[in-house]
Amino acid sequence: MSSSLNHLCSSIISEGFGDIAGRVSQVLLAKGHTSLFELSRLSKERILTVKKCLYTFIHHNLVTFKRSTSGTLEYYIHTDIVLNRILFPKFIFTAKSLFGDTAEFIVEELCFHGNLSLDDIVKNITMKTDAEGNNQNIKKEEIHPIFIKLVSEQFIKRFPSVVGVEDGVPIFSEQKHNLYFVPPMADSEPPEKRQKTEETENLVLWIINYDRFHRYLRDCQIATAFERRIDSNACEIIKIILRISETRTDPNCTSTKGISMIELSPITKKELGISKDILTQYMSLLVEDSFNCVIKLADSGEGTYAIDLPKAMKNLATSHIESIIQEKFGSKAFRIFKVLLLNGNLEQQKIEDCVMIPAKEAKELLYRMVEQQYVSVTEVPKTSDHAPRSTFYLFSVNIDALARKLEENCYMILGNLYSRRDHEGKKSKRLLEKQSKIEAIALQMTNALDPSAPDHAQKLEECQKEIEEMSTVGEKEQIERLSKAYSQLDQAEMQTEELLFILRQCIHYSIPMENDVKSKKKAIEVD
Amino acid sequence: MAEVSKEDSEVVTKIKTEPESAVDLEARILQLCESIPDGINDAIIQNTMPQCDATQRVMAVNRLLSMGKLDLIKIGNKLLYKLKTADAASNQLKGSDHQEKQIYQLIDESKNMGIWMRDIRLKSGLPMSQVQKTLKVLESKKLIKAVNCVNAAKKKVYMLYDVEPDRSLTGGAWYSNQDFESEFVDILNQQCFKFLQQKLAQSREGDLEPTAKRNASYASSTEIWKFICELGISKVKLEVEDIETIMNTLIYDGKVEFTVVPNGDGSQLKIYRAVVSVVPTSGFVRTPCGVCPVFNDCYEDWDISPSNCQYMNDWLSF
Amino acid sequence: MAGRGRGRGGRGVSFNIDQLGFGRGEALPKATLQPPPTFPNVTQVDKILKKLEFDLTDSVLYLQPLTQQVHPLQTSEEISYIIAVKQNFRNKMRESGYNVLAEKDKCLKKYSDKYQLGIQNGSWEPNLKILPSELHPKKKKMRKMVKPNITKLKLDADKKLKELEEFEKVNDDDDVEEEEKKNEEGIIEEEEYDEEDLEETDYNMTYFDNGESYGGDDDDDLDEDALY
Repeated sequence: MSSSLNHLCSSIISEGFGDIAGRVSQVLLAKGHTSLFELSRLSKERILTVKKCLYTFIHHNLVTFKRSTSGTLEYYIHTDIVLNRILFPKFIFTAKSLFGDTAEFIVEELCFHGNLSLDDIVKNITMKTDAEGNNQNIKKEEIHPIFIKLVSEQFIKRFPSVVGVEDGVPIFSEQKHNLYFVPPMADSEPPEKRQKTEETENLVLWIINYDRFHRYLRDCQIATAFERRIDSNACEIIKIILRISETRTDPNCTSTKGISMIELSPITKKELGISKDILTQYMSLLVEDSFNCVIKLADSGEGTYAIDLPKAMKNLATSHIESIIQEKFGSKAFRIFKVLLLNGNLEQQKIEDCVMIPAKEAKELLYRMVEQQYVSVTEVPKTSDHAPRSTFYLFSVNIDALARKLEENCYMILGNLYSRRDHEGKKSKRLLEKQSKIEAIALQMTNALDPSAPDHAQKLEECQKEIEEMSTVGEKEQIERLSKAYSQLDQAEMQTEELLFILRQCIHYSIPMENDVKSKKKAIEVD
Repeated sequence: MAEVSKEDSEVVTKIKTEPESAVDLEARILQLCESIPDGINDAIIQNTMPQCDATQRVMAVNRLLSMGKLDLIKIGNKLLYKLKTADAASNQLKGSDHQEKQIYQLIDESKNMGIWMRDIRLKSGLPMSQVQKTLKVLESKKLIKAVNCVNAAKKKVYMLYDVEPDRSLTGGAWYSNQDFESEFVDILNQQCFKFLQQKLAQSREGDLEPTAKRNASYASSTEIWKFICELGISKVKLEVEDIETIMNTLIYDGKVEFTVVPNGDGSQLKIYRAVVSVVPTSGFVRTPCGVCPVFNDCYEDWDISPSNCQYMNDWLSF
Repeated sequence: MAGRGRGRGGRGVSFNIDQLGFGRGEALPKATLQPPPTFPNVTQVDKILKKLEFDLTDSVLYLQPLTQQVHPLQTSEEISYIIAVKQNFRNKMRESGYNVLAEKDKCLKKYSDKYQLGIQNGSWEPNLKILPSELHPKKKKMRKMVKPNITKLKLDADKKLKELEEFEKVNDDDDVEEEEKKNEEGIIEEEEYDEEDLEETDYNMTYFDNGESYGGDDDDDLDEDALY
């Protein structure tokens, strides 16, 4: 674990759970497995505060615990899950765009509370909509089917149920088969059974299935890439293929299961109005495209197609890296980079020949990229003394290594953005406090007014005027500036996160592939 | 020579009837030598110019040899006459020593590719200082010239003074006086891309089927070449290969992709199309940190930290 | 070795300068005699570049450090919605009980507290079932608060009893462990003190049923039994 990742994670936690929690998490991140007392000692917080932090973390699934061999209970923080907190807004938006406002509320509640029973979700949502006072109250009957939809699409899964307690530590069931099973709705049961079902329903806790959301976001990225390359129809076709394959592909599998034209054509016809002939054309375009991740598996079923996910993510990551090179070093340097990318190891002379840039400039740009470790150099000595005269220097680009380097940089950038936002907030702390006070007072004042009174409109106006006068022009300007700064930082954070997401996916896929090779090797050895 | 006179006794009468001026004969022999660069023997002269008798031929050949316009080469037991190139040069070589002649010969043989000094030394077997001296003399006589190679700045090759160096030495259209004309390349690069971009835009506008749409965005290198020629931006005459070199730079720029399709006559045709990058500008460079020159020196609570970062200040000021 | 000899001549360096890519007779870069600025002035260089536009592309290369400008951020309706969600979520988190505050902060009552928005989220009860026993808070005085709930829950006496038994077990374990820790670490003094504190603060907070009431209530019941 790198220090920049640790810093980012503790910043995320500080933002969500306060500075104290941030400090406690720092210790957890730095130490790895840590006991409660160790944690209190190192973070210099009181035991009770640390306890509070820990159970908050556990509730938000950030921390797990295990008895160590020496018998002490140790806590461990999962950076992967902490990082998911940056994605929450996207999860919420995804739910909204796929299944509507109710789904948005459900996912938001789960993001907010970590885990919840269905009952509580319903309770919280109805309470929320009541409080907001708008007429579109959402009833339990409306929530339930959407909830089932979210579960059956695997966006939400069960929190493992506690099957017992051993030595003061709850034991979680490891059953996987009913992860996506929703107990039947209470109202549909006969009255005498109702008590019982309600109980089970209440005991089942639900959490966000991060992986499923990741898969969805990943699919969106791939589809958008095709939209840019071909057109919106191609994008939709890719989305459909990925959607169909989602249900039948093992999440750990690297490429999707094949989908035949026979299956695909009725769906595209229905959803996009694309005839089979055009679809065939699109499919061949997709296969031939240099983005190169749609593969034709076989001719059976009038053509069976699959999507090579590792390749897609690697290509996406490569495009991002290219874009970064382009912006950081200029388009000429990018040309050099691309020559290396396309041709592998090259000597300086050869690079200069390819790029049609004056040799001196080319050399300068190349060395600058080497200096910042975007291009790597391999020494191939002819003699054993590595004399520079008789040594070949081969330049090359390693996308996997670059992805890791940039992942690291992304952690740092995100960490910086968090720090800066925190700094901005603290700088204007007093002002913000005043502002929130004013808002609260304003709310109270307007609430105190009787809407049915005949002079309501007039009083309301007076109220607003009074509230208006509470803050000076300068203060208002400052608040304005601050909120703009916040938006800009948030926006930048989201866009950096997008790159981070792609890089992480790319790296994620590059690892199992290595494992595949290993397992294959093993299999051969066994044979 | 004795052979020659013996053989041609019969034709003597004929020639006598049509006497030709010696100068004419010499010119014709030279012409003949030019058309057969490998060298001619006496029989060939006799066959093509039956009107000349042996003495005339001998006289003419001897005169040419003495003028240094012809070379006499002995291959096996046969004698060949060969045209000496660069008349003026050989004139000037007159009076030069054997070494000069030998080196001149070597340089001459290298034709428009030139010859490296090292190779001259190796082939002639002369010591380095001698070679250097001789080359200087030849250069001062304007018999030979030194040409700098574009692909190796320090490499000098020698060739005859009036020989046009090969493209591989000069770098072709992209070099003037061994200087790489990067502006010229850039302009061509932009124009070629513009052309393909227009094709892409047109293809996207049209209401075509997907495959046809894509195919409409392709252009062959010949098409692009024609477009560039019509633009008239190039003072130098460009070849289709030159355009393909430019297209390669566009491929490396990530703006263009190419594919090969079979041409009607069995040859292959390179076709190009403009492409759009799969991702918009990366979010990485949309933050000050992404392009920050002191990124690696930035730590919490240090001189350079996110809270006191000037770049952030600029970026966040509205 | 030969290179070394030649290099020693004019420049006073012990190696052949050619190897670094400098041509013979080419000027070497000037020596740096002062530290670089903390923040190399990006803005200024950018302004110069803008003025000169294309005709200085060559010399741009030699202006250290890199002088790229930050790209504008992407904007779209989708992005602004997500940002709104993000900011809303962040504020909600900050005001919620999940924001772990130091005890002192909470004790200090501010006049503005009563105007604080979102106070409904101010407190939450952890679901003790999923927590290891060493994290279970002890709440002696909580009873007063939750009594009404208990009566309601007592309707289902049989079921309750069963769970009481279960939790008794848990708490027994807990006690044993506490004992051990007292011996080992001697921190128990402080801990007791802390818990007093906690109760104070929890007492002050309005009760909010955020969904964990079931487990939480249970536990309070049990705490009562275990302690008395």
